Amino acid sequence: MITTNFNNGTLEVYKNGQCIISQPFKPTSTGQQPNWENEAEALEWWNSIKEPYEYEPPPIELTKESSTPSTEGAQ
Amino acid sequence: MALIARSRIGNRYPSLWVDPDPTKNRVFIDTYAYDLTTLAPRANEQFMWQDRRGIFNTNSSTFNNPDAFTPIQTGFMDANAWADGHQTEHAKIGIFDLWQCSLDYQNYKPTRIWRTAQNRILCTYPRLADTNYQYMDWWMGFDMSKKSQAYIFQSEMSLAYLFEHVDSRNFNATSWSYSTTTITVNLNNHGLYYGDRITVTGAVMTSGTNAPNGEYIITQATDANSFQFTVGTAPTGTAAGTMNIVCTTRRAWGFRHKASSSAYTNGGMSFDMIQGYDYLLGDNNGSGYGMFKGQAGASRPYTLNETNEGGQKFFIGKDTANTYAYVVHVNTASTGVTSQTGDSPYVIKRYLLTTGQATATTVLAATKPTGTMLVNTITMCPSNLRIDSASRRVFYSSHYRSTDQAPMRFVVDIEAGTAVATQCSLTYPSGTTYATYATVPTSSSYGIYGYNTWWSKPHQWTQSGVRYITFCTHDKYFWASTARFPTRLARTWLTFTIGASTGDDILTFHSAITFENASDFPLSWMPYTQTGEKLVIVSTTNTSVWTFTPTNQTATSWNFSTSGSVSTVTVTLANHGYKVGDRITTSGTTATSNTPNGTYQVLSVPSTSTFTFNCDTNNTGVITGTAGGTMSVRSGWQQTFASGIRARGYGVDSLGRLWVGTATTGIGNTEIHLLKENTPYKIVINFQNPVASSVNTFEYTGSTTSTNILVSAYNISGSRMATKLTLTIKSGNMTFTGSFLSLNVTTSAAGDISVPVIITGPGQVLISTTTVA
Repeated sequence: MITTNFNNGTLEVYKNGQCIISQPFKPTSTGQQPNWENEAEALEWWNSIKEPYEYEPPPIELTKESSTPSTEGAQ
Repeated sequence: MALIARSRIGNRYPSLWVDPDPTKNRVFIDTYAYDLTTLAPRANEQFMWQDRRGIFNTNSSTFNNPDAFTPIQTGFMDANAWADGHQTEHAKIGIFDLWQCSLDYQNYKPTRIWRTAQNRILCTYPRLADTNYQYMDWWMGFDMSKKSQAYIFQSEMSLAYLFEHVDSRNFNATSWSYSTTTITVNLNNHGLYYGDRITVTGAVMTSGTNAPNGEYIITQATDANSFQFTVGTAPTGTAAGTMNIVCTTRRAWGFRHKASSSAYTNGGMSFDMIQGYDYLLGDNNGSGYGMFKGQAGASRPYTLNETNEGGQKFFIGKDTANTYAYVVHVNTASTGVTSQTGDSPYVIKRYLLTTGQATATTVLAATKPTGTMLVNTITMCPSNLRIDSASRRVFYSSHYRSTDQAPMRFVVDIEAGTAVATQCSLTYPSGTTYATYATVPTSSSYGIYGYNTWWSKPHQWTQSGVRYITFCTHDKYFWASTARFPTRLARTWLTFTIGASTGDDILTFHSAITFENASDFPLSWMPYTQTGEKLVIVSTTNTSVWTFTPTNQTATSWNFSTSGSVSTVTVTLANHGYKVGDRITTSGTTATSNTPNGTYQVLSVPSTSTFTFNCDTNNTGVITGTAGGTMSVRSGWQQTFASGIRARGYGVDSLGRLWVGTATTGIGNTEIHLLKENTPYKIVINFQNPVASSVNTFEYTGSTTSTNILVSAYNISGSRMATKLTLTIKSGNMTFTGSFLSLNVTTSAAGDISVPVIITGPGQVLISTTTVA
């Protein structure tokens, strides 16, 4: 689940409780880093890029292919 | 060149691994160990991806039998030139061409084999990929020729290792509790993991005893916000006090590939890290500590699943405080941002290293040149980095517009956290344009998600105080499909000088090289020297070294004569210094049509002040009209070594040696070659005074006779070369002066060298030659 938090001028995006984006300024293609005008502006930026982040890969089996594990000879 | 080994063992991991433990100084070739420096065999030392019993680890994956890719894993500079399709999954960016993942390859070399700070060796190997995951095999141990500590088959964790981040943590827990002997500590984003050794102070037991202060090992990293450790004697009473934790934790950071499907949402590369790798235990044990787990929910070695951003990523560097890593992200395709598809916009991000979470901040939003872009044709990758100062790191894009090259300059200050993009200004010699020398690639079989086996990448370097940049292209599948680079103009690399100081957004055309024949066009390339003035280029028929030797001269005069469909241009230029086969770039000439401005190869050198080249339908065409104008003659990249070997995997080790893995030409599956620039292709030895009928026959008249043998060495182009040889007389009928049977000599690029010998008897003379390093 993805949630957002706008705090002290920084937009934070959390995915499954983990902060994946911390954006304290408005990113631009010129290199300027102006402050967010407000939370709405930050959320508008997030909405424009969020689609890839919403993807959830399917669960996998931890062991796709196995050999005979050994319990002997460990260093 | 030297054929070092043919594979003797099938169904095994790559043919060559250099042990990252410097105390071992060894290389494993076809599993067997050799001294890295001398290549002397090391008895009873073998790396065969052995398990915890030390048993040869066979596996069922056809890919791991490296017939096709023959990867070379020097851990220094490694690349690969093989693809068997337009979108071969392991031919994409960053699987085997690891050096390209780091723009600062001199200081940060991405590897698939590394040694941790705690002296473990970790090896990774691409296995296969499906639509959701790129799977890797892993091996970990203390000594590559002893039993492993763990191995993993087909983990969804992949990592092109960049650096190990050691993070010292000192924090007060927000709360803590206990259940018998298990202590649970809570702090958001604690960043610690299983195996980390902690020092605990400040815990107090209210109305009880046995406060858990002391040194402990974390036994469970429950999640990103809590962890557990175990004490010997259970506390009693109520947990209280402010628990302080001091710890050193280690994380290996690098790039992870997500899948073969390459869709924006589940493919591409992520900047990622693993923890707990020093504590891998058990062979392929998914329920214990033998596997990486993609989330922190269990106490197993942990991979951080960084966000699914897709695209290609390239490492820029870290700030001096080791707080942030900077990465340039090249968008390839998107399910939701279609305007960014296929023209490689660049985004620069920084990632926080210190909290155990790769929290991303976008420093520079998507940017690309103005004008009509070339789309869905080629992935346009960034150049390597030039570090002007701690606060000024510069790289260039390889953006193409629809009809020309339109690079951008990126200046990154990783201390201040800023980046600025500027479109470069390109200038060409008077009367010429980009189209005079080159043309853009052609769209063909482009996979819209950008995982193609061809891409562009500039190469910049500084030589004798001058900054240069060459815009390089390659196509790993070119041996089977020439569609992307179908013409000689499309197979041309342009080199520019870069403006001085901060005027480095001004690029001035210097010279160009055209790969005239399709078989010459690069399947892959890589810097041969760390200073950048030499490249390794692999083509369909050759593995070669190219050296940048800049010249820029003005001809005294030029004229031409036409015979049939060929115009031969004769250039008069005192002390021109060119030799047959040299690549030259001309400009400034005038004629009625097909003026000889462009890229050519020297055809003949009648004198030190004249040379010729041909114009025909293969290049600019037959010249008409009157020769006019002032010809400027420039040169840059020249092929200085050729082997005739078709590399698949190749690499340059820390000693500067070029290793090449090839498909076999004889028995076995693969071959390993060691190439050196000074190794001749052919050595010729003749008698100085032979009989008239044969240079190889000397008339022995029955008594000891003094004479000379003539020794010469040639490269694959047939040019003489200077190289050191050891000559050893194997027959009993001749000696060198002083009765020696072995002699070191140095051949000459100018002509034969004479070596005195004494003939002592009749019969066949046998001389062996060995190249001396």
